[in-house]
Amino acid sequence: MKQKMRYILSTLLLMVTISMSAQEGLYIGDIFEHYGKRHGSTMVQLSADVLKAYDITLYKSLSFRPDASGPYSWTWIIACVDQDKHRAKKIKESMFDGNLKSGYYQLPQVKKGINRFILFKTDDKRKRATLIYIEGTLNSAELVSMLFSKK
Amino acid sequence: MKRVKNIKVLLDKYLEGETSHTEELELRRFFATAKHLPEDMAAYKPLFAYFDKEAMTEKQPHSARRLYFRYTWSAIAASIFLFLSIAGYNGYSHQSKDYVIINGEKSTDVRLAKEQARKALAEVSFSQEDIADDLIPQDMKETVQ
Repeated sequence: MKQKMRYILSTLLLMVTISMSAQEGLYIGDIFEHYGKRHGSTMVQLSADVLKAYDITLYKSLSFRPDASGPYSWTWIIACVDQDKHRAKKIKESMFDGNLKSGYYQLPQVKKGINRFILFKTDDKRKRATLIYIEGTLNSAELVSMLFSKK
Repeated sequence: MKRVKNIKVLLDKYLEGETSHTEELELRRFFATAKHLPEDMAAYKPLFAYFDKEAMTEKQPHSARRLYFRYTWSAIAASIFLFLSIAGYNGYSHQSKDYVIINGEKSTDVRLAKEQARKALAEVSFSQEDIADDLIPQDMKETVQ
C-alpha cells in the first residue's frame, strides 16, 4: 500500500515538474535560469496583459555577461542556442571569425497560431550577450518591423 | 438449576471484581445463550450482551478491504491536497508574471520592465547595414524594405 502511495505521489510530482518545464521546453531556458538573477544581468518577462498591442503573449529577454571560463561560459551558451536552433524552422545567423555573432530563429508552433522566436546577439566589445524569447500570434514579418523600428 | 446457582455465585464474584477471565467468559456465554432467566438475573442479560458486543468489536481486526479503502482515500486526499497546493502556488506566481530582474533585484514595475525590454530589443535590432549584409531572412526582408 505504501508503495502505491509512493507511486501516486511520485507520478503527481513528475507531472508537476513536466508542466512547469513545458512552459518553454527549450535549452535557452537554462540560460535564463542560470544568468537571470546574476549581478550584471537584466532579465525581463512580460505577458500578454502588457503586450496585447504587439500580438505577443510572452516576452522574455536577458542581457548578460557570460562567464569567461567554466561550465557556463560562452561554449555552453552557444551549445544551448545551437540545440534549439536544430528545432527551428527558420534560421538566420551571422558569423564572425567562425563564431556566432547573431541568430534569429523561428521555432515550430507548440500551440496553434502561436509563433515562437529566439533572438540572440553577442557584443564582443562589451563581452555581453542578449537573448530574447518571444511567443505570440505575430509573424516573422511583424517581428522584423518591430525590431527594425527599434534601431 | 445447578448451573444457575453457579452463575449466581460467579455473578456475585463478578460484581465484586474477583472473577477470572475464564469465569467472565463463562458468564458472557451463559447470558448470551440463556433464554429463560430468573427475574433477578434477567437484568444482567443486556449488560453482558453489551460487553460481548464491545469485546467482539475490539477483537475484530481491520479487514484488508477496510484498510485498502482507508489507504486509497488517504492517498487520494493527499494527492488532491498536493494538486490544490500547486495550483494555488501557480496561481500566485502568475500574479507577478510581468517583472524585471536587474542585478538580482526583482521589480514588478511594468514601466521599468518595458523600458528594459525595449533596450534588449534595441540590442538585437537590425540596421540598414544588417539588411545589406543579408542578415535578415528573405521573408522578413520583404516586409521591412
